[in-house]
Amino acid sequence: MLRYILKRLLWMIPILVAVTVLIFTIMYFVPGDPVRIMMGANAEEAEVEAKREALGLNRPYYVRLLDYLKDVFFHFDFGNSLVDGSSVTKTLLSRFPRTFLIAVLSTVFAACIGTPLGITAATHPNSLRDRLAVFFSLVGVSIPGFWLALMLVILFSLKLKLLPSQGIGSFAHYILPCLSAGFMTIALQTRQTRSCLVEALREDYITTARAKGVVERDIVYKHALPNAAIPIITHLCGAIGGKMAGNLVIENVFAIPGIGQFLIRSINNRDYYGVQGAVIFFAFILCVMNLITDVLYAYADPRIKAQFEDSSKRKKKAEAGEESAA
Amino acid sequence: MKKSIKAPRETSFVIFCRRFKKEKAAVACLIIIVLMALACYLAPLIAPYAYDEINSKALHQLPSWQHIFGTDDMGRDIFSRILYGGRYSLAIGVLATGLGVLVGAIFGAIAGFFGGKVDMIIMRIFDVFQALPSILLSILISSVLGAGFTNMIIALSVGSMVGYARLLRASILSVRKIDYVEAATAIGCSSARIIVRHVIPNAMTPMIVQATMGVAQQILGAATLAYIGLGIPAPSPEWGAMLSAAKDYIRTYPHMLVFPGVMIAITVLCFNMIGDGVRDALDPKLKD
Amino acid sequence: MKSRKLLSVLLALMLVLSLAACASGDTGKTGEGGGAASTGGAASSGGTGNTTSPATTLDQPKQEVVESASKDVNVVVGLQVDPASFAPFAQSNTGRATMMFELFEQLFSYSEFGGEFLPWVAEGYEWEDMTLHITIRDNVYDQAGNHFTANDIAFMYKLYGDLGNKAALKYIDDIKVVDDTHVDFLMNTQNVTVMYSTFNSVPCFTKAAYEASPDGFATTPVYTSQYKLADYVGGSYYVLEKDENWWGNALPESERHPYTAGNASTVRYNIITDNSQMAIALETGVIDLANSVSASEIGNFLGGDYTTATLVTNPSYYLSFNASENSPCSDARIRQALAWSIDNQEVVDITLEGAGEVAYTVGGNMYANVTDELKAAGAADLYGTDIEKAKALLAEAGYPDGIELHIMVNSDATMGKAVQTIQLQAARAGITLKIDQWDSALFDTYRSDPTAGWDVMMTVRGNSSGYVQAVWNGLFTLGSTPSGNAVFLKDDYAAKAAADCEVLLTLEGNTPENVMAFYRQYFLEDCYFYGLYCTQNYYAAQPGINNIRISNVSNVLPSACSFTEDYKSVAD
Repeated sequence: MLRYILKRLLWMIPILVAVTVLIFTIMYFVPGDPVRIMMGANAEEAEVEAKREALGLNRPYYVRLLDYLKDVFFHFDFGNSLVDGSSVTKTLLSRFPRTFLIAVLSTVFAACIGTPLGITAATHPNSLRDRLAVFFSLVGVSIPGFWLALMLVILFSLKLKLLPSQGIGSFAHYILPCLSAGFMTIALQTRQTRSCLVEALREDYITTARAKGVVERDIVYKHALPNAAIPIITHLCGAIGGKMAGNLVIENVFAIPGIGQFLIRSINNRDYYGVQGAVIFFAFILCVMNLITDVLYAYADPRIKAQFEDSSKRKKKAEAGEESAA
Repeated sequence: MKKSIKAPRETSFVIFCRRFKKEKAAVACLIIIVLMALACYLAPLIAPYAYDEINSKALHQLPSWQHIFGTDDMGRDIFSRILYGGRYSLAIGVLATGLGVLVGAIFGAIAGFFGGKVDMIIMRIFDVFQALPSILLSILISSVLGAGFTNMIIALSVGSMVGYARLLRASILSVRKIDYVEAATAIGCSSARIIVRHVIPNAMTPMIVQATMGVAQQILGAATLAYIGLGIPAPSPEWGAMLSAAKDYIRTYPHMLVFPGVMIAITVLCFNMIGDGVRDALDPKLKD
Repeated sequence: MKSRKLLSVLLALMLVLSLAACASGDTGKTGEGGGAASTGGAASSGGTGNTTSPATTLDQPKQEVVESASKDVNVVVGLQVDPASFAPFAQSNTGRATMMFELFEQLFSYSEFGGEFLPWVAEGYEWEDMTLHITIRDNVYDQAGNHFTANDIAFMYKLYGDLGNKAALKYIDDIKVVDDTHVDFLMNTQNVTVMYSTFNSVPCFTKAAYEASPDGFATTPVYTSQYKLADYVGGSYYVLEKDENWWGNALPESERHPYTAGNASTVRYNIITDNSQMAIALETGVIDLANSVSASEIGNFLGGDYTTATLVTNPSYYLSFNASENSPCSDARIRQALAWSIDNQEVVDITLEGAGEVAYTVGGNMYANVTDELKAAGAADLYGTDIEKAKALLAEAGYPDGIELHIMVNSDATMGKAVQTIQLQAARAGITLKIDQWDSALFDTYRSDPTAGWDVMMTVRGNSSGYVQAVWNGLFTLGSTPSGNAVFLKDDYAAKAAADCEVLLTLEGNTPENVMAFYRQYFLEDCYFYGLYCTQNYYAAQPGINNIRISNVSNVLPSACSFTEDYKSVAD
């Protein structure tokens, strides 16, 4: 098992290197001059050129790329933002907790609300509950997140004056962002839970269990759900990883100083180092979350776990055999 | 005298139609989409005003008989703009998905068929692309290419290509192992025949389902890109751009926000339901 | 079954509880705090409505120094742009402009647009031929306790140049330090904008503090001002705290710069980028003072308890043509045709909903030398609207059936609206305008490229020195783009235009007649640039703030506002 994790971690490195090269190249081709933006539209051409030289942006592609790769992978230094000169690494680290908090909270909402809804729907097929849950989940994946965010702001902040409409500070500030960010995940979670559980409940072993007289509650929670759990867990963990970047627009609407807001500002200002740093950071988090998902997957599913244990047990037997033979 | 009895063969398409007709909700949604597409296509005939007709005397009007959905901040009729905007949104959704399916299918087919080194290289490239969240990739590509209709389609399709490629590759790999393909090879069927008669029909099923949901996703993606300002340049009445313009007025004139958002939601909802219906109709496990 | 029901009930309870928690924790006050009903001095404008301008008269808010009560005064301000950096020479934006006079101190500074140039850290200046003798005060210390001397001034300007900036060094030949409190600037010119250019964008700091800072003051600023940065969360807020050891406390009232009233003990700026969120924040008691309230929202604050102020700001929005051979706009008649078809007032009505003023040149009506005569000349000529004339000019230029032009604008929503209005107006004369809306980065790249495919662009320019020819100077100078001046010309004619404009800047050339002559030639006859409008800013505050002080860069100065006796901040 450990070896699998190590192998995956090692794989992450070339992938991240490739992502770095990819994003560097994309930014290289993005039209628009960050130095012009920095100096303002009314600056003279000579000034802009001087500044560009001073920032090292006139060097050829390969030189800059290698320099950047060296900085990122050997020194963990993402460079300095072209907008304000501050360290991108520091900025990312300081903004990360908020983005992460929203991603996690919205996924927790999804798990807490979506799973029971899905279970209800699956255990009462074709009833009113089921139809409502299906409808709700379909509506949930159809509403644009930022539109929902604005509508929630109108309702809860303007009309009812219950919740703050933007910024951070107290727990209350996070409710609306997490709700709007999580709405689609809740809906997807309901769908996933429902369909997986429906599939599981159709299996033959469930019929056997019923025939044996097992209580319905136990059938659902002890037999069907654990088998259906795998794709559900996969979905949830994958959601956290994807949401970190997916919440860009939500962060914008609610003025939350997270990485997404930083990324949009960097893109608008053609802040190469800011964009590259944020994207690599997101990719890193995504890879880590994928790894965690796969590990959880392995633990949840005894069949996969056995695969790993088998291969290591076999090796041990072989070694023991050699020893006894020697 | 011998009569040869030939049982009438139902093509899978006919089977599919028959089963799809039973999905009432999906059929209803299909009808809605068709009506919507028709209305948007006939916008020049139906729309009461031009979509860029500015009227300085009628700014921010609430819905009334003259303006069914009211007017926006430049006095333009929102209903007309929604009709014209539907063309963009629907077209972008369908075309972006189509492009994604096409390119994804090509790469997936290459990876699935040739296997070995080629497969490995392509898979690694997929891994790299999938390490980036798709919305991010779309935004970045959009920044490189700039605003515009075709650019938006390209930017949106890039994020979904890998998904389709993986799907097709998985189908091909699973089909390759099936006995009847081996049998067909054994009796001398050419590769092309195998591909056409066996592999593609089986691989199509998940692709079709995914593609239908994909249209829904691309419409949302287009709205998001337009909202952050990377959409089609003004005065295009694209729905996401209308939402973006409305966000400064949510306190004073919320109607500007409600109508485009509801239209997007309805369209996406319909496509999702159609996708659900298609999946249920194609699912071999569900008994007829 | 039961456990599932229990689970859902628990969840519902959780949600309700969290809602209740935030309802009680939220400072949900509306702005009816202070009992002082007087809104003395501030310009409250009456009238609401969609198309009529909310403010017809423009009272400048009171600008004198007002001392406040001795108790702690905290102010929470809504700011629409994050300054992003506190470094002395970072890129300027609205956010930085707001803190410019609270966190920075200059040697000299205007107290309001086009007003007097007053000494601040410096004590005085004296011209001797081309040498500017500057005397600074001898008791200036920065927030770390370092003594500020003339050596630091030399360091400041050297650093400015080393970082690649040029604007403030334009007129300086050399800087000679005479002693601790005397420094000589050897200038190469003496004109109306020399002082402004040289001193406006260079804040005062010591060499010792700058070298001790890990990031060049970007997040750890140490200046000489009476407010120091106490906290900063990028993109969210920053907090300034009054420094009791400020050197200026020793100065008598009469010598203090008007911006240094220091009425607040702490100022917290919340970054609120959305217009509607800003208005919501003020109404729900999240902020005390809003740096910008949009025209559509200001109606909620007028005629009530809130204190409001308004100001027509000096950035001028205008059209700039591509006069190179790559574009039909190299023909003056086509430029004039477009100018004749534009109705400035309609643009203001639709784009700004009346919150702005028509401009008759690049440079609004608040600039010196934009006389009534100039405005009348403009109105009678290109700035009037005559569709027939436009069509005739087009026909004369060889396009009797109309012409298609590309108009370029950046992603700003308001400018986008203006361009759409212009598009409609131009269509009346047969000019089809295709709109290319680029984001700022691309826009800035294309504007210096004559082959980028645009024929006319809309952009903005301003200059707080107060002279309209200073604004023009940037348009006609031959170094704006690699191809010449801003309209891509660098022939003899363009050189003459640049030289003529430079003459206007000199002390002798700065006369209304000269400005008029230049205007007639290069704006009315040649129509290289076409002024559109200036926007009107609105500011609003809770009733406890009874006068909103605005700096010469059109942003609020919370520490110089005046507060009533029973002022209570939303932070209290």
